[in-house]
Amino acid sequence: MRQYEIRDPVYGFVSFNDWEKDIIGHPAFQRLRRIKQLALTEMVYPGAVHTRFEHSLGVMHLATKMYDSIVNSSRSMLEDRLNYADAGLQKDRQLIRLAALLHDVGHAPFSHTSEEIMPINVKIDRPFKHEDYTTSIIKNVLKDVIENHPINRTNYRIGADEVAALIEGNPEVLGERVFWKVLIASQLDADRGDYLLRDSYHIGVKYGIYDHSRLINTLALGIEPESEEVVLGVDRGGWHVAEAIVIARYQLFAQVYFHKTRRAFDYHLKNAMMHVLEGGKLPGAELPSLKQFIDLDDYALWNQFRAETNDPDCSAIMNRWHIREIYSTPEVLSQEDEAELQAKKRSLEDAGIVFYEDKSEKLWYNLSNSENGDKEIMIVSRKNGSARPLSGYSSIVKNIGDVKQIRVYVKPEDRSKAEGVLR
Amino acid sequence: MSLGKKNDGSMFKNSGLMGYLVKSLNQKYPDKQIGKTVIQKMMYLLSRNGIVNFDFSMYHYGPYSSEVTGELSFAERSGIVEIRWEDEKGYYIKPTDNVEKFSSLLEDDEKHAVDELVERFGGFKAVDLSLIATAYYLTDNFGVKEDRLVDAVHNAKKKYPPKYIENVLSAGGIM
Repeated sequence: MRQYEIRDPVYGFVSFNDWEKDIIGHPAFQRLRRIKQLALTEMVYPGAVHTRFEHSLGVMHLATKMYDSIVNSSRSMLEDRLNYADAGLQKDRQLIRLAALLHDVGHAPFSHTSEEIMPINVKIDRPFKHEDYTTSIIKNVLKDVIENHPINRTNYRIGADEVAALIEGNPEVLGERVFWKVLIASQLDADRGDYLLRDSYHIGVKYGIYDHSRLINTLALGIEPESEEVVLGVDRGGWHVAEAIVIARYQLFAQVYFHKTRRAFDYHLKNAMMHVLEGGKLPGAELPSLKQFIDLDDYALWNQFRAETNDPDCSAIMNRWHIREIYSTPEVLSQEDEAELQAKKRSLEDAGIVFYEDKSEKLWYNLSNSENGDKEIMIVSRKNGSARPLSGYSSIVKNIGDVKQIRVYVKPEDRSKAEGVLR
Repeated sequence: MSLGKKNDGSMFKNSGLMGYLVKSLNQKYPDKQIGKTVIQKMMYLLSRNGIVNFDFSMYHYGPYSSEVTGELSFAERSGIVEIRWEDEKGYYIKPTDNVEKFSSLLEDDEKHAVDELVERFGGFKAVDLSLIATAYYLTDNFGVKEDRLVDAVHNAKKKYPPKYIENVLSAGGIM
């Protein structure tokens, strides 16, 4: 089986085999070259022009390293609690590589920003999520390239539905093997592990840097006492690197993802997309609309924004002339802060000033993906598998919580008047 | 006038609801461990009734929502609940005296829904609630019918024998 290597700015090299090369070469995957990882963050940090394509390769690389480390450190627990033997471990290593590679293949243009304009999935009466597009593309568009490669037919016999099931967490297909979703979407997953490093590298900040080699080496499985379930954690010797990840995520969120100007462009972006898309929504995640969805990427939408010179939001993006923040609550607000916010809003209303209110929590959960579970990191004992939360070791982690901040924005031409009203 | 969707609801409403749930559970079952798993699964059951709107995903430990974790953490930071960890047992979540102040943000039908939930499911231990929530998730999201629900839950959680799962699901009125 021939192996290929390509350069990667974070890990040096990422390697893949012939089968994975064919998947990477598929147009549905190549589309990720045209979806930036951080939407319009480049309006604030010009280096933030990296794409979901290189992130996906990085997640495959990191997930593999993490998997190998866990198998090495916790083999007996995998055998005793999840009934693994050599053949199963070998097959699932490959399954995890594919799921990691493809975990973002259903991302809409401009990444998370566009999740608010996904249409309703009538089957469950809720909006589609980007994971719905991902699993639909895997099962409908990539099925042939996944299932019919000779490497797969000879060695693994992995079905497209298994890859999709690992991403959506479907035990109907995978049974207890769904456990490995923790490497794709959890507090210690390869997705977060990669984006913290990669975003920091491209943006030019150091906030997201943590010792990923140390993390890989200290991963271990334990037993969470209340649920009595197997949990992925780090061993006691690695709690400092776990702490570093929590701090890195907080710092990147506060200073990059939730940057006030970046969020202003998220507002314009959502409105601009609603303006140019048919019916103000993205196409659905099922065939035949899935094909229209795949045709959409950042480039296609930029072209439409450029043509819509009379639309205020398209124009705001093209001319970098955005709404302005005029008020914000503390990062974690109290009831008194909330009352003050309401009073400020009333003052603006009385003065006839239109405003936009932005809440941080939605973005915080989008980044952690609910999908990308935000359970507390567990520190486990290699001796007996007992687990204790990281906050029992780190007073810093104990005091870092979710950011629940609200900001108020006004049109740029109303800024001075609004500041006068709120003074 | 707002440029976007208006946000008039209190940021403390969900935390108030969690505080009310924690208080109800601790009052009705004072000797039971009310930990994070119990709250996750109870909130999942509540979300099925449309009382709360949290996004859940399926894991090997059952349906899980990082939004619920975030709201619970916010409830702790806002002094609505206290959370402590006990080795070998897990989390213990207790209400504070502030619960009343924050649960006043709830409508009567929301309190009623929590009361009903506690009455019906409050007596189950965490691992059993996990089986019940898993059964509902499989039904709602993967179209599993009642005639193979026990097998489907067993397939997801092999360490629990089918008979045990059947008893739990029957006791919960799911089948």
